[in-house]
Amino acid sequence: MGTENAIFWNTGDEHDEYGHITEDPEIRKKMVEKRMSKLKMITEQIPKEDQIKIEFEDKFKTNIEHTIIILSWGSTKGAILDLLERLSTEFKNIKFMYIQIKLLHPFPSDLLENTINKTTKKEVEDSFKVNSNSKTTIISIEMNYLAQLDILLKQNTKINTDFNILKYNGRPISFSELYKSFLNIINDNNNIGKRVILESGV
Amino acid sequence: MEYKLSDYKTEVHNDWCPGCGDFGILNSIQMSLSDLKIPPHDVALFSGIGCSGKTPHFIHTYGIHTLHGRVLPFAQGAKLSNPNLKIIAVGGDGDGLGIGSGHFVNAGRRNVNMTYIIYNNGVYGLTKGQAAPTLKLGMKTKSLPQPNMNDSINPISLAIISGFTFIARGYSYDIKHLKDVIKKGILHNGLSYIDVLQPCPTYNDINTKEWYQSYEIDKEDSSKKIPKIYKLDEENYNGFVSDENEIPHKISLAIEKSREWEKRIPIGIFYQNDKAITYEERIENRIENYFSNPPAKQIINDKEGYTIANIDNLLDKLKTV
Repeated sequence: MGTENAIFWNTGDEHDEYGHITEDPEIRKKMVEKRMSKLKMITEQIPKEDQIKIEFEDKFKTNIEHTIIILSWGSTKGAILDLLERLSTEFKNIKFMYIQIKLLHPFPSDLLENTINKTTKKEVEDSFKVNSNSKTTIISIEMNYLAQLDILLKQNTKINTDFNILKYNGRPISFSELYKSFLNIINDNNNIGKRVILESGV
Repeated sequence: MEYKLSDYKTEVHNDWCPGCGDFGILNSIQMSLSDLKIPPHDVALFSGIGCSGKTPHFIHTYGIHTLHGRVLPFAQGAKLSNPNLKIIAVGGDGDGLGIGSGHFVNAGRRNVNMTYIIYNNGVYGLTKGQAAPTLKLGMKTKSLPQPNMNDSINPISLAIISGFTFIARGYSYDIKHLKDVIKKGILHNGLSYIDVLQPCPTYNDINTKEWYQSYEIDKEDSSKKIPKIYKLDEENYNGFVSDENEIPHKISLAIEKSREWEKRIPIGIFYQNDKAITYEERIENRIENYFSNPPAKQIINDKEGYTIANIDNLLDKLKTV
């Protein structure tokens, strides 16, 4: 501004090349398509480890009977890492994996599906390591009522979670309550439904 | 180079309603800039959201159509980064006195040298005519199912107590007078506020052009007509502060005048104090070369786009041996 022969206009409303407001349907359509195409570019440009990150994965287990994949986002990470450190040594025949979702929009659908498929498929190929009746359980752990990450998974992927461990009493998730709920899931306690609500904290 | 009035106009299609008061304000702004011979590239016109928000697209100057209620932060920021620009901010009463009222009041504390024009019609015209902050209590304009439950903001009084240093009102169908008021506002050294009575022919069916331009017959002399709108300077009102001791008196005079409504409505300059220090002058008191080397003129990166700021000294100070 203040430069001769360089006058321009800006607007946050729909606009043409000059920055002038417009309601022309053709320009509007092109602009919507241009903006939406940026989502694809964002998915390509953001480093994969900034989209999803494998925070924990059992590598050298044999005779795997059960694979448990944890999906989570945000502040639950610390309690989950503490949990896996203990469970991984206690259950020699269960393979644990924990993926933290760092990008929620655009949702890294393909990346997440491929990562999970690769894990489960590899076990089938390495059949000497995996029992024939091996099963997979996918669990989301979230600090909200709706299981919002699970909603995003349903919207964007073919991934079906088996359990949603949820907490919404305004207290952080603790290792001990998480540990108890995992023992229930691993021992196939029939009393628990898909929603597991955590309540500890004063 | 000489600029003609047409040099301040654009070819952009104007979709305001026929008879909209906004046209009078648009023409007055273009004529003011042309009369004052301000080169188009030295002007930046900012707007909020609403019908009024489209104004910059119709004027051939730098034009920034910003966010709802946030026109003043953008405009003040531009002025402070380049104090050589002429800055005009425009918006509606819903935009500037509803969501933007916090910015309005705080702009008064700064007294940045720029002009703010509010297109005052009492309704949210772009969104089907809901009651806006200047609509009086109990008024039922076209799209209201019930009379207005809220009382109105008096923008002239609000501007005065907030610290604006030039406060005036115009009427959008009296272009000659409005143009003069805008020119004085632009020339004023400090923050000027211009309230423009702007009939919305589509949604405000009470404060119409006919209503504003009506008159009463003088009770004593039936040949004399008393128009609703009158000019302050024609009735011996003087809001100019010639000495700092006059400020409290002039402020109360202006507030009292601003309460006139319904029977008689004053237009013109309510208050002007050109002795108050501007925000730019306050900056200059701390940074001597602010006006000759403002932020907008400073080079901040090298050819590769990297910053040339050197923060080594700053970091050295933080070192603990």
